[in-house]
Amino acid sequence: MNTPVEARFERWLSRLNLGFALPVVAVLLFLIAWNRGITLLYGMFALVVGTLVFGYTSPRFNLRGVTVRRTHPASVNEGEQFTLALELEKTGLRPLYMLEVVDRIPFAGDQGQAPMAFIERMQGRRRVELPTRVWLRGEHRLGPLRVASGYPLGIRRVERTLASSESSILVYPSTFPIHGLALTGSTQSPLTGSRAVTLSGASERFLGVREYRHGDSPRHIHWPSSARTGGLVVKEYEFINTTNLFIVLDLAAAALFGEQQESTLEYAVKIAASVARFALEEGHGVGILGLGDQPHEVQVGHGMGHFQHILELLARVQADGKLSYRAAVHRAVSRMPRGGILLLFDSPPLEPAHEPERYELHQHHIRPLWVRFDTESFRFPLRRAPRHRAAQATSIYWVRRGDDLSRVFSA
Amino acid sequence: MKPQAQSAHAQPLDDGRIFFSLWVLISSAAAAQASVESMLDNGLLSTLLWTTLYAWGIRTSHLSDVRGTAQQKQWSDLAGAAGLSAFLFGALLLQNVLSALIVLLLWLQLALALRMGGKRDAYFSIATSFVLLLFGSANSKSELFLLFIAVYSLACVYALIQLYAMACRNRATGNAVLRHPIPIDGLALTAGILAIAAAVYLFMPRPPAAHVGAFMVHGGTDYSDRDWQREAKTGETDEQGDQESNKSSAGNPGGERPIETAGNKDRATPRPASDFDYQGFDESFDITSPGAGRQSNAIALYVQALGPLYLTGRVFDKFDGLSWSASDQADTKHLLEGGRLQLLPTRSQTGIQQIIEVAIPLQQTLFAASQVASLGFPGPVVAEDSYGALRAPKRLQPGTVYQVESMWHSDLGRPAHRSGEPGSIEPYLQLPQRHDPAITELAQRVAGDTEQPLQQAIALEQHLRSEYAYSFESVFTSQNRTPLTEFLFQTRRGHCEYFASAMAIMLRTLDIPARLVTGFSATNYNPMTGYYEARLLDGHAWVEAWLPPHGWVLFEPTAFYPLPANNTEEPSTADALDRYIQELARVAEMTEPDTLHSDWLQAVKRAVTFIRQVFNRLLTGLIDGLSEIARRWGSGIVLATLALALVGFVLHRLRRPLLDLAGHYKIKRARRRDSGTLIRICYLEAEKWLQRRGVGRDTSSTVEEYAQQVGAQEPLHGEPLNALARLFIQARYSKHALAAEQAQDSYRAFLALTESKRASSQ
Repeated sequence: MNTPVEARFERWLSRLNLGFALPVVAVLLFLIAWNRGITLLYGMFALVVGTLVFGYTSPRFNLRGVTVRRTHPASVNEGEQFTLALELEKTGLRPLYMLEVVDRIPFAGDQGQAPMAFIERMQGRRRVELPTRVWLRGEHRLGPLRVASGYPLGIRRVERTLASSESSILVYPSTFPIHGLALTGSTQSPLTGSRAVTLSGASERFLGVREYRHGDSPRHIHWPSSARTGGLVVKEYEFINTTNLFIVLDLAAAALFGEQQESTLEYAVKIAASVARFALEEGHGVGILGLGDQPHEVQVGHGMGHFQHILELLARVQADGKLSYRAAVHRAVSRMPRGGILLLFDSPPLEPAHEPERYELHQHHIRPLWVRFDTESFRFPLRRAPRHRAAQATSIYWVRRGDDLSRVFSA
Repeated sequence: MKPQAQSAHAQPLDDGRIFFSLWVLISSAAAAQASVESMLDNGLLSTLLWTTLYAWGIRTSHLSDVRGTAQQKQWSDLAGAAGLSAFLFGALLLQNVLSALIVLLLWLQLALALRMGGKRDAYFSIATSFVLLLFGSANSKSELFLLFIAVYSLACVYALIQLYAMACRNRATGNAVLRHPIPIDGLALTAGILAIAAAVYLFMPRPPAAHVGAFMVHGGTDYSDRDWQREAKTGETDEQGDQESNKSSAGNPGGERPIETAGNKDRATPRPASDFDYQGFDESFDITSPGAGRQSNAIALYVQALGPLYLTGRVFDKFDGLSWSASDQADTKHLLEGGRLQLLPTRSQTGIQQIIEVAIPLQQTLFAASQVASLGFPGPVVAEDSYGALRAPKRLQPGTVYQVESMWHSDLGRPAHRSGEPGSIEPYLQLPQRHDPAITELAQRVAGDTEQPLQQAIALEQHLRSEYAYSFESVFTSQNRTPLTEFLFQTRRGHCEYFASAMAIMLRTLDIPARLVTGFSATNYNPMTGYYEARLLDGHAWVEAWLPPHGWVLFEPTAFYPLPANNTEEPSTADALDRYIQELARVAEMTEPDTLHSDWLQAVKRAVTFIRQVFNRLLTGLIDGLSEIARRWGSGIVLATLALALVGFVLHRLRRPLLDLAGHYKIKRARRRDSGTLIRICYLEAEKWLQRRGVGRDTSSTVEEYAQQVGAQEPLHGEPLNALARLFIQARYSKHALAAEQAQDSYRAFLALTESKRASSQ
């Protein structure tokens, strides 16, 4: 058989199903039996009809008394595997056959539309555990759960949606490691002399005591230790050069390029989460702002507990805003104290945000840290344009679709 | 994640249960075919051979991977080649294309079984076995074939279920698949399908066979005769009639001995001994010993027709007091063109189609309902005698199928025809030389005062049917040499030849032309096979009286046999089955009263009768009861039904508001009670209130989960229900009594919930 004929035959075969084939066989049998008066063929016809009737009615009865409950953790990290458990129960004496449980799992790709479980025979309770991996951050609604059965022949597949079987899961964005980022060393450093002034972005931490040296400030003499040792002892401080980082996300719908995980928003969220984690681990304060359909904002804070707030915000943001990025930058600047760093995202060919805001940032002694997306690479994934020359020349982080962000931000 | 999708029909068979189901399926088809047409003339051996070969093939396929080994391919190719060789041998050398095709299919099935790898192979296997079963169904005359059909169908269903389960497993690949050794509810499935099939089979009306494009002629025997063909070509009429010649029998593949029928030879000439010969089909016969053939009750002919028939074999007009013979021995030979012969040029009446299959070796007589209009026969020539009866050149061999269209009509409510219309009525009025005048007196007395020949004939028929007993014993024991007088006035019992002879002679004494006809009574319909079964015991004699303008009218003086009635009412299969079993039991009771076969049939008959009685009583009781109720309280019932329907409609429309009101009332009453009770009732009523609006709580959901889910679906309900749920949990699980203020909160939440719906709907 040559290939086109075989392919055509395959296509024809794939369209065949018992729901069509059996009635056709029944009609043919009836016609032959009637024309030739062959009673035995009426017997075959009766058996085919019996099979058809049973095949059509049985699935509905088969689904009676089935309950399914889904359990899973309330939140997971993007790319992480977790266990989705289905607890099934079948009441009544009659077992259940060939049950398919279908769940709507928006983040699981094709797997989310396939039957989560196929159970050939079940009575009483069963628990099914299914390792699932989440590929997209966000607040996802799972379900509703559907149970389906085509038992015995699949002539008719009855599906029942289970009431109140929806649940939600919060998927935090994934992060990438950053080994170094120029968050300090600003020319507008608020530090003067050997003491931190009371400006945001700097602090000093007690390091220990040592013997008094000439020139030490008498203010730093630790009198209890001096009394105990009989000589002058001064307190020694470690100067910590910290600052405040404010991340401004562009949540305008117009600024979204690419699709799903390979979109500018997802890259921005991933970058924001990674930079925030790095900054917080370094002791800096981090805040975040984005103007979407509604404003999303987390004020500047410190510590890994604060990172959880940032992650929750980042898990939920969507590119559904109408306001321009400039408005978001303006609002962020107004929220920031003098000094600090703004992490800004730029998506050419949209109007660059930094030009009109340069003066305002300068006025507030705020240093911008730019992430610029190569939007062409997001819009046309098959094009692989060379990295922009400016990317090497300036301190702007240029991001293309498919870039290893860890390398980009460690450069 | 799911692996790359594979073509659905190329999926490999991954389950031993599928292979087993397929083996049962193809083996049952082979066994069914073997039961009908065994190539080895031994159904059991053939069945064993093929089932073993298929088991080997399927097992080999199961143990190998989907592509199969090189050796498997070799074996498969070898099986295919063997099938092709057998087909060519059968088709070209044996000239039996149908049988050759069946053998080819059996071998191809083996070739397929040896390379059974994917789903597509399984479907092909099902299709091939289905064709085999179709062949078998078309040829089988045994009700046991239904058993094969049932086994095949169930095996097919199980195989298809397994294939469906396989498809489901493939769909769920990558996710959870829980297998089970027995994924089929076998008992319910089998019982369910068989019950539905039985109901359809027994009670579905079956339209009369259309026979569109079907001309059923099948031989396998050489029925040519050069002398007859020469006579047919020259148009000679053989005044003496012909019998099968020794010369022509040499070419008879069946090797049957030629018959030397009495004919114009001396009656004392010994007849050929045969278990199946009945002298009534010869040119003359002695009514006291019509033949030993009827000692067996084997099926002689299978007849497919729209209704019961009497199949004429021979017609006799001359009676000498002991034997019947035909006064006119002449016959005419007809050549068939393409196996067909048109005897009547135009159809003046509606023809009766008959397809007749010979089951055992029989005389040359071509049995058919009288006045044959057209004939299809697997031979080049046939003979027609002066009375319209047909004969083949040689004895009929099993497997011979011929088709006849006859011109019966039933103006008088009984069959009549014009075959062998008499030129002169003299031969039909002739009485034996030693005719007993007592017979004439009896005939006149029975006929009474009526002058109408038809009424006289009917009176005689009724008299014989009611006053004389049928006896099988008399078939086997010769009576004396004046049989009719003995029969009519002394023994008053005898076999059908006595009844028919007595009536014919009595009719003649009343000047009504009459003749005796022998043939088969094809009135026992087997609803399981769809054929009228003419058994050897159905070899029969009856009477035809010439009653112008109706022609030859059939009369049945033997009470044991029912005259084929022009019954337009088609019985259901269940009724026909009942009649068939009753008839078998009746015959068995008379012929072999003390045998196991008879006992078994009687038991079946009693069981069927019991079931029918119970069914009839239930049905009758139900109908009677309903009729009585309708008679007594008919108008009241109608009014009450209407009132109930109205109330039901109103309640249906008002059910929800009424239940809502009841809920509110219940809560109002609960406000007098303690806080905990009020909170619990508020929550439970809220849950019911939501349930009535299609947002029910699943048994697996906790109260909190339910509140969250409701909030997600109906945001307006979320907040009050959340508040209610929190209070409800406190009320149910807290050790401390709840404050009255909290109870008021729950009441307000309930009101807010119910009001929110109203607000949202506004």
